[in-house]
Amino acid sequence: MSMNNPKQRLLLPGNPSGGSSSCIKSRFTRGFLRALIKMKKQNYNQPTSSSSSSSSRREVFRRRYRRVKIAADKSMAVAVGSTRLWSRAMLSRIRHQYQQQRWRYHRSNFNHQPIKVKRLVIEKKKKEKLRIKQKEEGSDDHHRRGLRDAGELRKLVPGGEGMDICSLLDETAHYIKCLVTQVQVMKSIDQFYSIN
Amino acid sequence: MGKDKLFVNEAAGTWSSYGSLEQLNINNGFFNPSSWDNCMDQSDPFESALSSIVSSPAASNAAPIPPAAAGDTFMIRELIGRLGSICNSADNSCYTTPLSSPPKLNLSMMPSDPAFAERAARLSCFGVGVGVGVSRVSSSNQSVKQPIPGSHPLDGKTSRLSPEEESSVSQNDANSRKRKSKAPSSTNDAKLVTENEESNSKRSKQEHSNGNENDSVKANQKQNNKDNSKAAEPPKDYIHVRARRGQATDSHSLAERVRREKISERMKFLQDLVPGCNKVTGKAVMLDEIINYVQSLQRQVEFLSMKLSTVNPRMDFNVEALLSKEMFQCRGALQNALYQVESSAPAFPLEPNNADTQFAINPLNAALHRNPNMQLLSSNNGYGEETSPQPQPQPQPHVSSFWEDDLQSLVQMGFNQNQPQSFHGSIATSQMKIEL
Repeated sequence: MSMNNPKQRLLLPGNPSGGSSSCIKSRFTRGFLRALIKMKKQNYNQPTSSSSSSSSRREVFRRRYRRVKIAADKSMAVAVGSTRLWSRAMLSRIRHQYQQQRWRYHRSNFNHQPIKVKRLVIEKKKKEKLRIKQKEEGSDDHHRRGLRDAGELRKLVPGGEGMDICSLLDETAHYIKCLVTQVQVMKSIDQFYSIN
Repeated sequence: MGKDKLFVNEAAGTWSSYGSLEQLNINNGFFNPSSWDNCMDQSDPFESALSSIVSSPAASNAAPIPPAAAGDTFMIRELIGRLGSICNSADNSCYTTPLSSPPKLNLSMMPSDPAFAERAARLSCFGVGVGVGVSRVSSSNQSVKQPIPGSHPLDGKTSRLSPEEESSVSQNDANSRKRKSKAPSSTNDAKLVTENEESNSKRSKQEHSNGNENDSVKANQKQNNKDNSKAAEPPKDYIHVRARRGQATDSHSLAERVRREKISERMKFLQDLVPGCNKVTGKAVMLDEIINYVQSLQRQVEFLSMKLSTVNPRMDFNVEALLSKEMFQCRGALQNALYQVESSAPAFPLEPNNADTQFAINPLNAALHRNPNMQLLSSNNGYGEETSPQPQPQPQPHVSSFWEDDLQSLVQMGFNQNQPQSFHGSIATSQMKIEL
């Protein structure tokens, strides 16, 4: 009985001609375009900052790139919804980054005290914990030849650090599918823009 | 927990080819508490099956219950109404079906064997400790009573016979479990149970015709069968794996095997998903391949987002100032250029509120729809890659479904006019025709 559930979960996004994949595709397209347009508006509102020097332009470019990347990731994750572990992890990561950025911005504007230390320490602790966990799992996996490199996959799939290997593979399959869709959509958007 | 016990019992059944009845009894006593819940679940089928059995071979024999046993079962019935009655009937059936040998009825009343008394005490200990399982254990206790004194005079024979009998028991047990693990619903379970019981009764009849001397052993065996068939009812949430020959049967290695099977299943799925992964054998290489593929996809996304971010400023001039009209016109131009359809620019009177998104989406959707075709024409189908690992799938159904989706979404997004939609549709169909 319980074997059937993950199978279904596996196969549901798997059928290519079914509604789910194209539904995700259209949802992602819509969300991403909306985000792009929003971004354009904001860029239009503050265009002068980019034309001062080459370094600042590069900075602007990098920021823009990051925003586009985040927008792509976020709209993908939103399109997938919260049923998947990786999308949830991605959303929370983006949110975290956003908060951090905002916080940093806030701090740089008002006071220059390095309060960041505490947070860094906490993060270090977290990372250490994660590393220990990974080490344990790695040593656990070490017995099974072939799945030793799962740690690398864990790093690639968002939220993969906390998963067991079965769900990791599961999420990887779905993630790959979504990435392929994302790449296609972005390619076509790019093509459209480059034509005009 | 129940799983563990199952395994324990299986191990005991398969590996203990030396046949001491005591061990079996202990097994039963050990086993029953865990199986109690299952008995509860299966009460109806059991009732029907048992009643059929009782009625078929020995309906007349069911009446003469020994007074002690009757008293016991009466108490049990009082305690646990319905299930008690089931146990009672089970008891009766195993009394009566193989019987026609009068000594058993007597023997069940006189526990003259000291060793037996010891055993009974032990089992009753079990029963008391378990609480709800009292009636069950006590009934098994009673049923234990029958064969042992019966076999007492025939001690040598039973000891000689018991190994093969036990092996057959274990086999039967395994079979029943196999069947049950396959059975998905309770009705099937019921059928299987009846089948099992019937086979038991048949066998007992057959053996009864062979000779009366083995009766006691058979009764024991039958009781064991019954116990096991009840006990072996698996809780539905477990995944059941049968250990093949030479494989370990302890719970850890079984769980490990399940896990490995799961992993290999998912690996197979991923193999279909990742191109160039079909030829690869070995999980490590496959995992490398998967990692590479994911990395390349992520890099592609990064590259594309970089590209889009460079494209954006240029688009600011085009779009931002005259976003609605510009986009719309370029869309119309695109479609005109592509399909030589009459421009429908005046046919799209849009509200300024949601013009933003709709305009952005419409042309881009058009572009999206256009792209598969272009890719098809240039035999560079990225869509084929997405749909399936085969190199040349037919993209038409996919495209059409995509169209439908988008049409629906457009409808939902507040295109109130039918003309644009019909226009869309006509384009879609014409496009499809062109493609076909």
